[in-house]
Amino acid sequence: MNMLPVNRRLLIKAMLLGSAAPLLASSVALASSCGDQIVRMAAIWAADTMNPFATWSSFWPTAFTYDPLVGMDAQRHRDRRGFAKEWSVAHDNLTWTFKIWPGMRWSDGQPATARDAAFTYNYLRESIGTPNELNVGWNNAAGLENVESIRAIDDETLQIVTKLPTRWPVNNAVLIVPEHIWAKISHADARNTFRNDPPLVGTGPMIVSEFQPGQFVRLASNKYFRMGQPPMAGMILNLFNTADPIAQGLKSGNLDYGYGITSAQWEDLSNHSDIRVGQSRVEQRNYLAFNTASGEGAGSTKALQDTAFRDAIGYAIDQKTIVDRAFRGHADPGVGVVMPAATDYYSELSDIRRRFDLAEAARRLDAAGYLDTNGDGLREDEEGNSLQLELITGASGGGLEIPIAAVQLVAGWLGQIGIPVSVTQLETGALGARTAAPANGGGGWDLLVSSTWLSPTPHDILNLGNSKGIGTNNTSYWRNDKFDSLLSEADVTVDLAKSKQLVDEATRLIYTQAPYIMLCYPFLLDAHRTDCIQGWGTEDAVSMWGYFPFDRLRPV
Amino acid sequence: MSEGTVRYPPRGRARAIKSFLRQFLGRGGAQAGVLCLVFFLVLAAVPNILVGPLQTAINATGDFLAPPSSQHLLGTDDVGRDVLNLVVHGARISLTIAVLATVISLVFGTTVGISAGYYGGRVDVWLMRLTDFFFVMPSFVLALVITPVILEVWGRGGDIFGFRPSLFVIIVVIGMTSWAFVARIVRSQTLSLKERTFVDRARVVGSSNIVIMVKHILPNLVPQITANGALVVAGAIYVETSLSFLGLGDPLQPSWGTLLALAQRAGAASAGAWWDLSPGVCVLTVSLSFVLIGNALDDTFNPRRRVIP
Amino acid sequence: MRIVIRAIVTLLMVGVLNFVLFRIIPGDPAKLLLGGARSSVTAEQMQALRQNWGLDRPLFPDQVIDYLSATIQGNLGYSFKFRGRHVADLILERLPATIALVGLAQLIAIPWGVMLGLYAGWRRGGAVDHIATATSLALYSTPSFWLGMLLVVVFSTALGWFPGYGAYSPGAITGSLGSFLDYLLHLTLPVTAVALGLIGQYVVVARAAMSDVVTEDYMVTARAKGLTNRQMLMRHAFRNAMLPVVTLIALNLGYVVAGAITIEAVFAWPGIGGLTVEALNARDYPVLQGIFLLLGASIVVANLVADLAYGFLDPRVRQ
Repeated sequence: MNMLPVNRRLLIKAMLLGSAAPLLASSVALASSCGDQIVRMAAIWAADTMNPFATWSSFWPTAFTYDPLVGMDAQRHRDRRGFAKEWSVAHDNLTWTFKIWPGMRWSDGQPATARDAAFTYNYLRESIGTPNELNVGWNNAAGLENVESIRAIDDETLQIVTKLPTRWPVNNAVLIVPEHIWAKISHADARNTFRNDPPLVGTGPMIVSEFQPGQFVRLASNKYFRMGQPPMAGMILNLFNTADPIAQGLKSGNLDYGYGITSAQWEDLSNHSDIRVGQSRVEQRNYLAFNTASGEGAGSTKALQDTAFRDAIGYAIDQKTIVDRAFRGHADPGVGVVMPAATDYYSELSDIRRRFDLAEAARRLDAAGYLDTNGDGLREDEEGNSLQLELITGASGGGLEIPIAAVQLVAGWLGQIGIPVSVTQLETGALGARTAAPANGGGGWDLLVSSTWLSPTPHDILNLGNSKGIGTNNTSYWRNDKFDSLLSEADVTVDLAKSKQLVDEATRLIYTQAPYIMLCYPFLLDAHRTDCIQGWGTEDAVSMWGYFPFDRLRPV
Repeated sequence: MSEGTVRYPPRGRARAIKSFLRQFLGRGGAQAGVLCLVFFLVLAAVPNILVGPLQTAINATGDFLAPPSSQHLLGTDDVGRDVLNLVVHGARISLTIAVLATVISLVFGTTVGISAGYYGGRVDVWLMRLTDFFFVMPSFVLALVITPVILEVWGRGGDIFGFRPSLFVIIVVIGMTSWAFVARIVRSQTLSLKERTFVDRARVVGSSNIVIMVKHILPNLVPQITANGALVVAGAIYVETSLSFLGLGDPLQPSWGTLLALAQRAGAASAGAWWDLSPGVCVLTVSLSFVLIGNALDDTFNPRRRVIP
Repeated sequence: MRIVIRAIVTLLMVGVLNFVLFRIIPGDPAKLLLGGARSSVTAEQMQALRQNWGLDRPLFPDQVIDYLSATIQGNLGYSFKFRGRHVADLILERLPATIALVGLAQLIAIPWGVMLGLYAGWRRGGAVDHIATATSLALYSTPSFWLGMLLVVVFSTALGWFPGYGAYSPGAITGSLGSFLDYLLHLTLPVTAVALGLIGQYVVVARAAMSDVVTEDYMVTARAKGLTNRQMLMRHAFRNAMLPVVTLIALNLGYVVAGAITIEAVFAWPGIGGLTVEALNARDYPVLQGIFLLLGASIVVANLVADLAYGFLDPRVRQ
């Protein structure tokens, strides 16, 4: 057998290689942030372009590079600021004055002034009503229709005058971009093809220096950062499709921070001595939506347009079990459209809350006329057709994934009250196409389990029922004039007590009309290593609204 | 295969079957295969008696991803369902899909193969081009295209021949992508069979083409078709697992592939929950049993040739 | 020559069917293929493609011909998911990772699988035969992605020897020796999973071929002529047994380009298979159409190579 010697030789070689492999593995794993002072982080994220006007899904890398004028973080924390150092509003609640950091510079060394901020807002505002209206990305023109004027009084002072009282000037999350770069870009290009290739020019602590779509974003510390160059040399944001590589990277020491891990991985990582796991309330809402459209885009039965039908189904959803089973307790049970993270507005709605009771759900369906008359175990609608609903599901872009168990539960309960459900899982893109406004080819589905993650401002909280948001945030296609007027009133209310009252009224209205059944408000599960880097946040390790703590992390 | 296999007198046939069974079951591989298969058929037939009704997220009681214990012999999955329960109930779905897909594939493959081989000429050329094409077609592409069409035609409601539309889609897809293999083998057999004297004799007597194909050629193909049918079932289980793993299955039906897909999504592998991957053992066992049976069948029918392509 | 023509015809059919398949899907093809409901493909790109593919003209023959000629020029359309990037670019970007994964697996599996299989077939009934046959049949029946998941559980999660996911360590510096080693380490588990599946296949086929050969008349004649075992193996058996094996190898080479879809999904490997899954989930029809074309073409070419190789090795077919 002339093969044998060859075999033997190969075998020995393979054995040698095999025994060397663990050695190699450990030597490569040594290349961690302890050595090169680069923060390694990862998320399930699909950043597609570095142009914040053209996409919603590049928030993270661009938010490390650019500053918002004020934004959420600066309002919540005294030690976090954006492009503006201070701000104030006049007694008329219309004229806002922002003090820009004196002597601030862009990462290319050019002065960063109030003129850049004015340019960014006016750039957006000028696009309103044109065919290239900038409304497809993180930097968008929403809210600017209420603005009278935006101008730089001098290099350090920006003035925004609004037509109505609104908190938009401080709440908006528009990232301020340098005039000397963006003045050359047309609206059409900014909306579409301009890719804003690295290196970017921003005022944030970490500047995007390399972008490999589907792989990673590399950032370098900004030596012109207004608080001094950050201690860490740079960052690498790894973009993954699944949570497995994140859990693995954290364990092996190749990652310093990761979020979007599953609850199974979270439990597993929490046993690790060098890893601190965290869970924090975020603004995500996971919901069940009914397709309430009539005519074009309507669902398979008219029952979906009937409030009594939707209300009855509300009794068949056990939010507590969803939290316990599908999220292992890492979520708050769903109530109304206000999420607990919006502490100012959240309410338990105890007096009108539907309590899980399948018998009650069945009774209400019977009373509303959805009976099983032909004895096949399935209820029929008014036309006499057996109900059979199509449920589509998937996470919205950038949101936390919805475990399929949540959908199994919903489908299971509906099945138990005689309404069979078939399930189609879709990815973000396909889901977006199906939940688009009926006029844009969306609709045709019956039930939707999806999520939103917007800011905790009244406008964004109530956006689920906004008739102007049909096809974007209002995925149930629900319209209600009363709700719309409450929303537009809340939009122009600055007084918190008044604002709370308006939000509460609108919340109760949409709760009883039931175009949505809130399932839960999931917690963000994340983990970070503690052996190489310190300076992580205490409540939440990493802010979801800005670049904290990447401006102040330092080596151990 | 001699001409004699075509027409056995009744008693002779019984004897032939007996001797065939003796030969077939005399092979170790066949014994193991048949034993495993019987085991899984029992699981599929009476899952409720063995492990109780199917556990869903609603009636799950276990802890999350708990390792095997006396209470849960195969541990629990990420929603707290008993993995053993799911695996046993999955047997029914996976086996049903595989067997029905094989039936479609055999019927289609045999029809195309016989026609191509028997008529020859242009019919042969075109049918074989078609076969080539389906040989090339990846099942996921077909699944993608067929799904919306079937759902459009039948609607999402109710069931098709007793199956949920999404299961039906999987069956059709597997059937459609595996018949080309059968067609090629049947064609080459038909080519040699049609030159035999008994076909000529039938033609002289005035039998029509259809009659000759069905009554004279088909019975002689039975050994080939059964042996390859077993292999097609093995392939079908494999394809079902892969399709479901890619998210093209029904997330509410616990087929083995879907269970593996759910385990992957829950991060079972990176959390070290090896027991959540046990449906894979079933796929391996059942698929292997069918391969062994197919091999043994072919060895018995035709001791000099082995089937596996 | 006839084989080549046959391959070209099949290739054209793949093209035409590719065209037809993605138009059977209910819905407006312009919307479906050009993402009408989506904002990620620009109006100009859509208009250009609409003209290029002649979507406003009759389906047959104008549109088919336009589609084929655009395809031959390499214009496969624009992706929905990846914001209007060229499908051809996307595919080319992912190709190296797939070729590294499946190519390396083939390089390992072919010598091991074929040698083991031939030896088992030559010494039928021996210890090696029993072990090799049992193992390879088991491997042959194992879903390779499941094998991959097991490898991850054992060698990555439990033992921590190899990374289980992705193609590089987060933050590895590209272009250095360290990053190359890192890449190899990341390749280990997925390559093993693919290679084991292939070895199973090769052993089964090579063994069957060899045991067919050893019972042939000419082997009996050769033994009667007094040839030694070794001479018989080298002069007769090896060459004849290699026929079906070479065919299988050629066919499998088609998948070097197409990727191992499920394995790449398990290991988060950034190759064509991974792209397929992403496109599948996003219902990114233009990308799927492009991948299908690549897949069809590579399998047709592989078939052609198999036929040619067969003809080269077997003098009976050559005539």
